[in-house]
Amino acid sequence: MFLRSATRRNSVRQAAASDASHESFTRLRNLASRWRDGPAPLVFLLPPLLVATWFVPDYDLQRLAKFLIFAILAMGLDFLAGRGHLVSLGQAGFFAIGAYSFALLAGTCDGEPLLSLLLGMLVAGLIAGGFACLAGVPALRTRGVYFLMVTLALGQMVFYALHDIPLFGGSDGIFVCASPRAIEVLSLSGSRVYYLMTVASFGFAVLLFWCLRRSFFGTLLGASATAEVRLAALGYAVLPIRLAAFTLVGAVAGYAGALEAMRFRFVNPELATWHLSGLLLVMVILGGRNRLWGAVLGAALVIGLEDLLVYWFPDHWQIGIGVLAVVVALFLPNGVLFFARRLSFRRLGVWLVRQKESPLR
Amino acid sequence: MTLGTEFAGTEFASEVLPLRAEGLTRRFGRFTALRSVSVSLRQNEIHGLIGPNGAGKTTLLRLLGGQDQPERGGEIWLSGQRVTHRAAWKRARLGLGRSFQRARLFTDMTIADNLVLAIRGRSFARGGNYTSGGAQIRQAAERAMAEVSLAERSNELVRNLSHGERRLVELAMAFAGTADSESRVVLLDEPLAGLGAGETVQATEVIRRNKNGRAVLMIEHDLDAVFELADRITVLIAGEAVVEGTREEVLRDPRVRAAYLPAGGADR
Amino acid sequence: MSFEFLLLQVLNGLHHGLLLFLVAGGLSLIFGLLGVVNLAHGSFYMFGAWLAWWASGVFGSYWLALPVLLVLVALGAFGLERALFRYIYDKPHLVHVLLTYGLVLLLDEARSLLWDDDVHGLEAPPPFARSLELGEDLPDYPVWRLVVSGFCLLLALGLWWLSSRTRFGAAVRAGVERREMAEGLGIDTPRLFLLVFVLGATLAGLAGALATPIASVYPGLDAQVLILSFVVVVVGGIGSLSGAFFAALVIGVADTLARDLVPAFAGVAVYLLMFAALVWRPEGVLAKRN
Repeated sequence: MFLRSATRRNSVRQAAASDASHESFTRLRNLASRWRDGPAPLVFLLPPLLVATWFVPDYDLQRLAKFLIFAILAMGLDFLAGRGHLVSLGQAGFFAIGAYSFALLAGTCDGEPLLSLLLGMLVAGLIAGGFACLAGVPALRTRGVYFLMVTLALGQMVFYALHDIPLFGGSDGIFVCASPRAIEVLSLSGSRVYYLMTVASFGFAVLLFWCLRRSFFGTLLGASATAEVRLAALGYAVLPIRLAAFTLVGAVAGYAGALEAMRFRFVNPELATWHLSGLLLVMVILGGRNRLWGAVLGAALVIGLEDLLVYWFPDHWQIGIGVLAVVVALFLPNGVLFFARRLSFRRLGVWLVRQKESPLR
Repeated sequence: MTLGTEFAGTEFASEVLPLRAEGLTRRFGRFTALRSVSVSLRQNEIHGLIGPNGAGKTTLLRLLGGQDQPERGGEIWLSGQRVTHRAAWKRARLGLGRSFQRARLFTDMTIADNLVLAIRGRSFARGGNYTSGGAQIRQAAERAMAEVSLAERSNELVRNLSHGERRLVELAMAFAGTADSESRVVLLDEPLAGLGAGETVQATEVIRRNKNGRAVLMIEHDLDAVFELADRITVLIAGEAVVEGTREEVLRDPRVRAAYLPAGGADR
Repeated sequence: MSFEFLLLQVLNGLHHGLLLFLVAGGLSLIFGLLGVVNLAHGSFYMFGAWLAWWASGVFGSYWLALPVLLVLVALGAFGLERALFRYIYDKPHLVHVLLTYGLVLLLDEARSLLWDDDVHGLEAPPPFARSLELGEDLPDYPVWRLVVSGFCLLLALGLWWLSSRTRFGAAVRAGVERREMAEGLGIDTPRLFLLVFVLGATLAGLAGALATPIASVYPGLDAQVLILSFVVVVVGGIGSLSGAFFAALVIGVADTLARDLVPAFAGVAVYLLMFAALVWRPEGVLAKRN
C-alpha cells in the first residue's frame, strides 16, 4: 500500500518540483501524468470506439481492430521492455503461436459460439504463455544484448517451425477452422461482433496492465531493471519475477494473436516475422516508454501512418516506417506522450550543436 | 563470546558464528585476486577489512554476499548453514544484508520505497510474503530514515539525491528491518567513502549503534574510522589475509607497516 | 544417405559456416567494442550480394565488380557511422534497436528501388566456373565453393593476426575489455570505432559477394543472415573472434545437416542448438569465463 501510493504520487511531484518553478505548470504536469498512467482515458476512448461499431464501414472496422490488437501487443511489450528493460524482439513469435493455436483449436469446440470463441482465445493465450515460460527459462539467463538476440532468434524459430512443419500449412498458412455456428457469429452483421470483442479485449488489457504497473509485482520488475544485483541482495529472486512477466506478456500476445486470427479467419507464418516485433518496439518508444498509454498512442500513430503510407506508396511504404524509426531514435528517444522528460525541440537543437563536437562527450 | 580462533573450523564454532568463511580463493584468468582467505565474524562485533587498493577486499565481499562464486575448496557458513553455492537472494533471506561500493539503489523510486523493498525482502526470512506486514514495515522504514536524517525527505526520488545522501540510504537499507526481520550479518563496502564531514559522523554513528545483535564486516579506506569502530581487523594484502586481530596487533605486524601504513600515514 | 554424401554436406556446412563467420565476426566485434546492437549488419551482406550480381553485369566481370562493391559497401558504412551510429553509442539498447531496425527497412527499400524484388543468379567467375565430378550417387561439387572456403580461412587467419599481433588489434581488444581503459591508454576511440564498424561492414559485404556466385540473390537475404549471425554471437560470446569462428563452423554444419536429416525442423534446429547452449553456458559456450 505504502509502496504503491508513494511511488505513484511522488514520482511525478518530485520530478516536476525539482526543475519547474511554475506552479501551474507543475499542476498541469501532475494532471497529465495521472492521466497518462491511469485507466481514466478509457472513459473517453471507449464510447467513440463502441459507437464506431454502427457507423463505420466494415473495412475501417477491420483496421480499427488491427490498431486495437497492436495496442494490446505494444502494451505488453512496454511492460517488459519499458518497465523491466527486457527488450524482447520475439513477441511476434508468441503472437503467431496464439494465432495458430486458435486457428487449429477453434473448431474442436462446438458449443455456444461466442463462448467457444472466447474459450479458444483463452486457450491460445495459455499455449503462448506456456511457450513463453518454456523459452523464458533459458532466454532470461541472458542479459541486455544477449537477451535481445536470443528473443529475436526465438521469434525466428517460431517462424521457421510454422513454415516448415507440414501441420501448419507452409507459407500459405491455414484457415481458422471454427465451427460453422461460430463463423456465422463472426460474420454476423459484417464483422461487428468480432470488432466488439476486440474493443472489450482492449479495455481489459488496459485494466490488466494498469493493475500490473501499480502492483508490487510491477514495482519489483522495475526494480530488477534498475538494480538487479541489489534486488537479489535484498532477498528477492530475480529470475521468477522476470519469468512471470515474460510468461504473462507472452500469454497476452497469444491472446492478441487469436484476435488477429479471427480478423481474416486465416493465419500464415508472416505473423511471426521479426519485422512485426520491430514495429512493436517502434510503437513502444514512439509513444513513450514505461507509460500505460504510451504504447497505445504509439500503436495508433504507427498503424495510422502505415495506413496512409500504404495508400500513398503502395510498393515502398516501408520507407516511411524506416524514416520514422530513425527519427524517433535520434530525436525522440523518450517518446511523444505528453510531457516527455526532455522536450523534443530542445533535443533537436542540442543535436544540431553537438554535430560539431565529439560524439562521445 | 569467549570463542577463540582455536575453535574455528570445528562444528561447534560454525554453528555459533554468524558468518564464517574458510579458504576462499578467486582467480580471474591468471590473476589471483584472493588466495585462501578465511574470515569469521562474531555477534555484536564490527570487523574491519583493510588493505591497499586491489588487495581483493571487494572480491571477498562479493564472495560472501553471493554476487560471485569462490573456486573449489572454499566454504562459507551463515549462522551454521553452508551457503557456499547458494544464490545471493537465499543468503539475504538468511539475514545477510550488504551495501555496495557504488551505491546501487532503485533510482526511480523514493527513499521510502527503497527502504520498504529492503525490509520486505528481509521479512521473507521469517515466513513473510510479498504483501504481509504493511504497517510494521512502514514504521521500520520511517525509523531507518530518521536514523540517517532523511525522514523529511522520505518521498524524494533517489535519483535526486546527492552522492553522500545515497550512501546514507545504502547504509540504512543494509540495517533496516522490523523487529522480527532484522539483518543479522551486514557487509559494508566502504560505507564512508565520499561522505562529507557531517555525513561521516552520522554514518559512523549509525554503524556503531547498529552493531548490537549483528555481526558487521566493513571495508573502509579511512583508517581513523576503522580503528575507531572496529573491534577486530583483518588486513588483506595482494589477495592474502596477512593478519587478523585488534588494532594493536595489526599495527604491530611488520608486513602491515611495510605494505600499508607508509601510504596511509605512519603516525596512526 | 551414403557416408560420402554426409561428408560432402559437412564440407558444405563448413563453407556455410566460414561465410557466416565473416558476418558474425564483425557483428561480434561491433557489439563488443562499440556496444551497438546493429540489426542492419545483415543489410551489408545483402548489399554485398546484390552489388556483386549487379556490378558483374555492368562490368562484365565478377573480378572487376568485387573491388568496386567492397569500396561501395565501405563507403556506405562510413557514411552511416558518421551520420547516425556515432550519436547513439551511449544510448540504451532500445534506441540502437530502433535506429537499426529503421535502417533495415530503409536499406531493404533502397535495394528494392535500385533493383527489383526477384531472384537472380550469377555464374561462378571464369577460372573457377567448374565442378568436380565426385561419382554417380553424389552431386557435383563446385570448385568456387572450395575457393571461397579457402579464401575465408585465409581471411580468418588474417583477422587473427590483426587482432593478436598488431597495435590496432590490441586497441580493439582493450576496448572490448573495458572502454575507459582504451580511452585511458590514449587510443582515439571515435576513430577506432569508425574503423571497426567499417571493417565489420565490409567483411559482411564481402561475405555476401563471395556467396552470390552459387547461392542466388533474393529479397530477405538480410534478415536470414542477420539472425543466424546472432545465433553465432550468442553461442560464441560477444567480442570474441575465435568464439565467433568456431561457433560459426558449428552452426554452419548444423544448419546444413539439419536440412538433409530433418527437413521439417531444418529452420528450427539451429535455434534449438542455441537454446541448449544457453542452458549450458549463458555467457556463450565458447566465451572465456569472467
